[in-house]
Amino acid sequence: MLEVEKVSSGYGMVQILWDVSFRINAKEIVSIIGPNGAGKTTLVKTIVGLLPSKNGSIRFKGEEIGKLPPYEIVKKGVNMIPEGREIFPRMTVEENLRLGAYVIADKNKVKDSKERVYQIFPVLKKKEKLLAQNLSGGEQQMLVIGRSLMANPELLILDEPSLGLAPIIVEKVLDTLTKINEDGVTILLVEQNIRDSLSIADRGYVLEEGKILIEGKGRELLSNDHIKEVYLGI
Amino acid sequence: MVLAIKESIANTFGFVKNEVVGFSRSRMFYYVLAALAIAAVVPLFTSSYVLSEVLTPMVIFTIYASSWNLLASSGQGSLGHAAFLGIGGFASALLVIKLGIPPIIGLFVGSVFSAVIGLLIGLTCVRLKAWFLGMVTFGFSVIAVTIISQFDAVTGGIMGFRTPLIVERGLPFYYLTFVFAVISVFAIHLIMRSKLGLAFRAIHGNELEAKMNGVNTAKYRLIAFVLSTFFAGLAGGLYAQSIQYIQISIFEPYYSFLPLMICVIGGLGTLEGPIIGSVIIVAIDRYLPGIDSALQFLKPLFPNVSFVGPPLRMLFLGLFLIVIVVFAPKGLTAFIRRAYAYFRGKLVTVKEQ
Repeated sequence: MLEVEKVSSGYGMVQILWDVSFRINAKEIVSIIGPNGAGKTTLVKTIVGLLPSKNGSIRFKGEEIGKLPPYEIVKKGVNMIPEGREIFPRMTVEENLRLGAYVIADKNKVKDSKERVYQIFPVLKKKEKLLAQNLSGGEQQMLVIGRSLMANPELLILDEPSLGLAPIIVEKVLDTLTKINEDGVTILLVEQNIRDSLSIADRGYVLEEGKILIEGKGRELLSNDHIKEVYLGI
Repeated sequence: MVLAIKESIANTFGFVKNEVVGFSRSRMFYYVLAALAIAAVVPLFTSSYVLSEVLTPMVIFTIYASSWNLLASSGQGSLGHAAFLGIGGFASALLVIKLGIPPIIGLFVGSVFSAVIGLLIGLTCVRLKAWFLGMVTFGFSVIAVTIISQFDAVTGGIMGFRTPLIVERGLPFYYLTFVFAVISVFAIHLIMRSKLGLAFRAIHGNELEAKMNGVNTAKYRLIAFVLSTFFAGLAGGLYAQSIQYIQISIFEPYYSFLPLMICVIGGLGTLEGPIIGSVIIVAIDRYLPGIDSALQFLKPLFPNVSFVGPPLRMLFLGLFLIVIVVFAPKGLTAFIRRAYAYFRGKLVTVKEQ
């Protein structure tokens, strides 16, 4: 579904990614793990068009998207939840969701996806008229995921969704992602939380110093010697 | 009961947990009706000085500040909005004088002209962040005044010229501006309620998140800029009529900072903020010189100080602005809402969500 081929990228003169290649097949959960500063966020920002790729190609469903602006990429069906899960605090829960469907012109479709999101997260329905700033941390995370589902994405990219959440909530979030995946949404999970993210991933890639170092099946990677030694400290 | 007291205290001190601070929708409707009725009836009982020097500017600056507020609602700021006030004023008057079109159409075309200039400026600079846009707009207001003063064959240069009137001064003109203000504020209300407004608020809230939700941020920032300059131009056209004379002083930085002051005092990003702010700023502006005579008795104590109007007025305006920013940083609107919630909180139990 997504093919990233030999992509280099960075900020201005500073190159961070060096010939990164990986692929995501339809309906998969793929996890990209790596330490702080490995270039994980740079990679997702490049995929969704926030940063220009210096060379290489990014194809979504066979179509080159490397040069498209972010809003065009959202229209194609790729949605990214940036690090820090920021909601719009001064908007109501319902308005937050409506914003998520911004690229969809058909009002009935928007209504349908809203119903779907409320089915997944009933608490959002209960609080739909409240300003989003009144939600708890976990509820805000639900709102962010719900909002990204509003655009009916085929590929959902999450940058560090577990950051700053209590373990029990992380578990809930991952559960939800698995459910969303079963509904047919392909998921790219970019995480520092290696054990949790690899446990739900079909496949995983290890990104270090801007290069893909290891590739493998999700749970198998957990028993990889390098990962055990460097990340899990076993 | 205990909860209600807790909640009302929380509201007063700003630790608002649930959204109970605002007026309810149905009540809001009656407040709007009451405000409209006051604005429509009061002029019938005032002197012609108060009508043309106090009430009319209040209404015109409401349009002007609302235009600035619309821009601010999309996360952008202008420090040179006087340029568009002036362009609207000059264009609408010049079109009537040079082309002989009816003044009411001149007013509309002048506003469109201001929006077109806004589009051109916007195309070059809406990608700029925060203060950089402010500086560019300020720079443009300086350029605009230079151009207008140099093309004196057309613009009357530094001297300016008399503006042709749409309707007679006094009550008819007041009601004309009143109608335009109601239409403008209502139009801005509808814009902010629409999908367009949702995009503006998203950009204002968090540009990265807005982009990730598929909002073409550059496009919507430009739309906000153009809409804002349209209403600023409309305010300019009306202002030129209200003082019956237009000259380059309309481009002064004072007029650029005026909408900023009005919005901060009234309440940035609220519909009623510019209205409340305009009423207060114009009232201070017009009535404060009266303090001079009241302070005459102090004169023997300070033989070297003259109690002239403008400096004292500006001093008070400055102090007032500081007090507002320190004690009611969200403007008087938020202050009033909080006070309202406080007194209501005493009567009604606020349910915990």
